[in-house]
Amino acid sequence: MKRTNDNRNKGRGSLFRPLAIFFAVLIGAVAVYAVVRVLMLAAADDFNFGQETLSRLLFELIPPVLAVLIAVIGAAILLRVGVSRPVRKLTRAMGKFTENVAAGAKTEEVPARGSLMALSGEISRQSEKTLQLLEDARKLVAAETEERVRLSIARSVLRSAVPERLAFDALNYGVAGRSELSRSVGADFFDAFAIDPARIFLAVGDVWGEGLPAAMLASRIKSELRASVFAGKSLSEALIALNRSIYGNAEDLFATAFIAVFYPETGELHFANAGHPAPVFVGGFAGFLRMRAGLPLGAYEDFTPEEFIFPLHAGQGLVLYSDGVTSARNPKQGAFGFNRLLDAAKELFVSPLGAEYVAEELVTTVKNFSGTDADLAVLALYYPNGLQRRFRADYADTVTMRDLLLEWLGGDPRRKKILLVCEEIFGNIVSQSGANYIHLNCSREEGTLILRFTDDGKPFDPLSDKPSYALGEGGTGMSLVRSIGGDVYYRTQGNLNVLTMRLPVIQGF
Amino acid sequence: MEIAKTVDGNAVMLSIEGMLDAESARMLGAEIAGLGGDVSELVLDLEGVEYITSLGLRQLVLADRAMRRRSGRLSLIRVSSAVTESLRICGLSERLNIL
Repeated sequence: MKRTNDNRNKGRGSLFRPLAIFFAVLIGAVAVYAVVRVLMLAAADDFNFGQETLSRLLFELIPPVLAVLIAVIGAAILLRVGVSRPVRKLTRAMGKFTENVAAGAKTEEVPARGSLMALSGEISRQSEKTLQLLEDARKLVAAETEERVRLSIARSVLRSAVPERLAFDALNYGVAGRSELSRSVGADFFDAFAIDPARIFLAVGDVWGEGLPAAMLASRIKSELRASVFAGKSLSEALIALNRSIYGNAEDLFATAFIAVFYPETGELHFANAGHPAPVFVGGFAGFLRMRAGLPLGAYEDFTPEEFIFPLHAGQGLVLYSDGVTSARNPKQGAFGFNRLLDAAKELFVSPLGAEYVAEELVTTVKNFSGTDADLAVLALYYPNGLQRRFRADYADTVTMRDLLLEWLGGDPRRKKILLVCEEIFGNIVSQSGANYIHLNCSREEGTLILRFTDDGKPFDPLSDKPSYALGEGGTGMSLVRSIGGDVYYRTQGNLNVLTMRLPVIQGF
Repeated sequence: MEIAKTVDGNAVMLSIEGMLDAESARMLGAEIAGLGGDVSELVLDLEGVEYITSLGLRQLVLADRAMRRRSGRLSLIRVSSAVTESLRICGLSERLNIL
């Protein structure tokens, strides 16, 4: 409001100033002329101001003064009525136009006369055009906003059910899930949790659709599966219940799902499938789990899935994935496909870096292949030969590592020295390599204990530093390892540091 | 994608050419929804389908269900290898009538 007033005053000032100056000069000239004439006539009369002089003065001066006054007043009235008022009205109308547009109301016609009528008409036409453009823009923005809002809701719904990252592990297994969402929010999902310490539930699936309805169905599938599992249903019973539940849903959406329970104590994997592509198992040799495919959930009312058992061996792993992985497309090479998936999985399990590493790297591989955002879900299970654990590169985690190693080493008489070396390695990585994580693998293979530290810091051999304060003057980790009959070697693998310690197994421990 | 339609009495054959994805699945769905009430035999010729997405597979199930509801039958003929593989993976090859 304040700005409008300022503008109005400024407009009025700029219009009046030259006119005012002109009339001031005119009035001034007349005044000067009057004074000169008075002086001249008075001088001729020797300043007596006789009657004759006075009447001459009146006759001579009144007409021009009157004429000037009338001209000034007339011009002022004309200006005010013909120009100033309509201009002010127009200005006010334009101000109102802005306010009306902001308030969404219609603008009124501006009354005007003469040449200003054309201007007023033009302003009205321009206002109409602007309003039309604004209306079009508003509609466009509304449609786009609605779509964006829908997708953002879909994203939230899916994200509340399917995290981007999930990882948990114990001494004898590691599980990690990873998911990616594209702009269109396809509903690829996974779930993983320990039903109890002896049973790990795993699920991965795809909803055949996109956006909010698909995200909601994925979220529903996840919660219904959890409910079935906690109610003690078998895997096939859980899928039958789910199929009945979503058959005939409003959008007629279907979904595929692979669900499994892993028993880490025996390595047994129990699973059932509803039309989902078979998971990959890796370790020793790699391949796809064999099974009957079953049927997509929600497609047919009568669906009886089967249950299968597959024995995983220590050192093996499993990769569950959504359709988004194999169907990720590269413009030149087509779909990522099953062969690339198999090769990628094999390569990722070469170095036993745990489930988190496998899930993370597989998603990166697929994303690099397709070069765009994609809907992906990957779930990796690692069944280590021995123990494996990922630590933060933080001194606080040394305690956790010590407890784990003590449990794993049991009554081994060298355990104190082994612990000392491991703490030295851990501490050196934390203080010098700038790593985010340290991954520890411990296994027993053919009479040898193998302890392997892997970290993602800059290239750095944790035992090259000597002497170590932890081991006292002159002592080094390396010589300590040698003193207990072991050996250590360091190498880099890709952008990772790998330090491997080998010790002979002492019989009885 | 292109759909060619051949009508022979109560039988209708739709020949599909191209990629069977979200958009072409919608087109196919509209085509099937527009079939006359007397059509009892729907045949989909899939020789020209080089790629099928999950929404394409979904449309095949919906067509199958629609034909069953009107006591008719859906048959798939000349199914390309890409589509055969997709139908096998999701188990629909055991349910759909593939000739």
